Parts: sequence; C-alpha cells; structure tokens
Amino acid sequence: MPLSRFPLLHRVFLRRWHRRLGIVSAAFVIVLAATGLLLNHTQSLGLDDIPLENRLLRALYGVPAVAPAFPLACPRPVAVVAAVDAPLQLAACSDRIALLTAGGEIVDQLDTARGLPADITAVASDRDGFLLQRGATTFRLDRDNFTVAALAGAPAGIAWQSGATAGPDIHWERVLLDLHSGRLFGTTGVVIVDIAALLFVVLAISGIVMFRRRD
Amino acid sequence: MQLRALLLLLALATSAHAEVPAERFLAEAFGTAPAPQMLWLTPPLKERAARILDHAYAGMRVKYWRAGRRTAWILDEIGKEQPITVGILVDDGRIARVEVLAFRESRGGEVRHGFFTRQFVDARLQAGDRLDRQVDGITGATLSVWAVTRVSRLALVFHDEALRRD
Repeated sequence: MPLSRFPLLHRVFLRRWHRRLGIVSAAFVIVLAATGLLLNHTQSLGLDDIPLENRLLRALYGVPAVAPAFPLACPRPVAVVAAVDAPLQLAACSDRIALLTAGGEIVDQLDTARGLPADITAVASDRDGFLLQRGATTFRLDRDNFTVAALAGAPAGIAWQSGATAGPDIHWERVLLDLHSGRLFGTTGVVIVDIAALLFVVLAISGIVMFRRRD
Repeated sequence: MQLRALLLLLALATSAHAEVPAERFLAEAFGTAPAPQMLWLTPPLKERAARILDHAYAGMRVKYWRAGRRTAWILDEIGKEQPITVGILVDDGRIARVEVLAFRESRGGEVRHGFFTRQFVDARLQAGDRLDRQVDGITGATLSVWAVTRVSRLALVFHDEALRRD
C-alpha cells in the first residue's frame, strides 16, 4: 500500500506501539525461545533424568523440599519396616537388606553374596523379629547373627510390606515444559503466555505493515 | 512331558544347591565354618576405618568368623559405582587369602584374578594402617584396585581389634 495512504498520525502511532509492545514482549520472547531450545534437546541434555532440587521450584509443585529417598541405593526397593520389639528398622531391596536404627543409621547389611535369597518380594515384622518373603517361601532373619533361615510356613496374620519406590520426583524437563506453557504459575501463568502469544501476533502484523509501507 | 519334568527337576536341584560365594569362601578357609561373631565398631575404630576407606564405614558392626588366631572377613567397598564384595582371610596378623566374592561393575573385573589377589598374601599392617608392600595396579581398573586394597587393610585392622578384645 503506498505511503500516501497512511496518515502521518497512524504511522507514528503504529511505530510507537510496535516499539512498546516489542519491549514488553522481549522478556517473553527470551524465555520462550530459551525453554523451546532446551526442550528441543531434552534427551541429549538428559533433562528428563535430572531431578529438580531447587526448593522454591519444588514448593511451586507442592512436593517436599527434598526428594523422598529409599534408605538403600538399589534398582528394586521392596519396603522398610519397623521392628515391633526394638528401635530398629529393616530396609529391603530385592537382593539386599540393611538393619537400621530408628534414626536411619546402618547397623548391618546382607546381600546375595552372603547368603540372602535373591528376589525378595516382601518384608514384615512381628514380635519375633523380621520376616522376608520370596515367592511362596518365608524366611526369618536372625538379627544377632544376621542370617536368614527358611520357615516351614508363614506365621499367621503377617502384614507384608512391598512395592516401595524411591518416590515420584520432578525432573527439569517437566519444569521447562511448564515454564514454556505458563502452567508453572497456574491458570494465571497460562493466561499470561496466551496474551504474550497474541502480542507476538500483533507485533508480527504491525511489523509487516510497517515493512510494506516502505514500498 | 517326561523330558519337561526331568528338566524341571534338574533345574530345581541345581537352584537348591546354588553356591553362595561367602559360604564357599568360609568352607575353604575353615573346613567347617565356625559360628559368626560380631565386632562392634567403637568410635576410635570407626575413625580408623574412615581413614582407610576415605569415608565412614557403613555399619555399626562387622560379622566375622574365627578359629584360633585365624579370622575371615567379608567386606564391601564401592569400586566406581557398585559395591565389590571381598573375602579376606587373616592368619595371626598377616593376610592369608583375598578373594573377590561378588563383582558388580561393568569394568575393572581383573581384580578377581589370582595374579592380582596373590599380591596380598602375607601382607601385614605397618604404620598408618598401610600395607607393608606396594600393590601393583591394573590399567583400567584403578578404582577396583583401590577398593580391594582398602578392604584388605580394613580386614587387618579389624583382625587386630578382634583378637585384642579377647
């Protein structure tokens, strides 16, 4: 459209507001570009594996400040049970167990190399101590010698514990996705990002118009 | 059907007698393994252990087996990322045998071989709870070598302490 078609007032108005909106949206552009760039390379950067440790961000998600941790580092945690008769706990993985104080200090450990049956599936505690289960077989743990012995049958009324996990956790990929979409700040954040998107559209249109008026 | 039953029986029989590394180690060391005993770690002993390992010992007690002045210890130490389980036999203050009972790392498994573990035979403690000899390393297995060396030193310390408490 020829320059003469635009009154001077409109051209100044357009340029001024294009500049103002551009400054306002600059921060959004930077954040969205940065998060978008990182999200494009999530796997190579391992962002889906890096747990979120920042307390403020964890508070935004309503999760504990510190990620819940199983007392033992193992690929297949089973459960932690407290002793009935002493201030002790037993933490069990499928191939390793640890006797802990009530405060979580390790007293002793036993694994398959030392005679622990492999593939422990559940643990329990009764007035005689700790029990372990592997399939249909029940084992009694001797706390003093820290050995296990198979029982002829499981005692009655045992409340078996199993299915422990290290706890669900938030990773940086989730944070970036939520920041990119605005969901990190709830509905307000989503609305703000929507407005920013509309701003970008307005800027694009005004920019095209100003570019064309140079013809 | 009969073949399947036979194979199942064979599998069950095999699994029922699956070797436990620690039990075999103790049987070879003592014939009939004595009843285990517990060495409770006092604060000074914990400190000595921590100096050897470069980290706190993960436990309040250590199980060991003893016949006369011979003791056997089964200790864990992290190589790179996984624990290495090592059996150490100590005779009157000198190492009689070192054997890697369980190796869980993907690399550095050369420490399981006799050419490495034989270096520890007859080793004693000297000042600073160090071994009285230099242990040759293995290229590509440095962390595993350190782990086995440390638990060997630790076993000698525990052996002295166990005998002293008697």
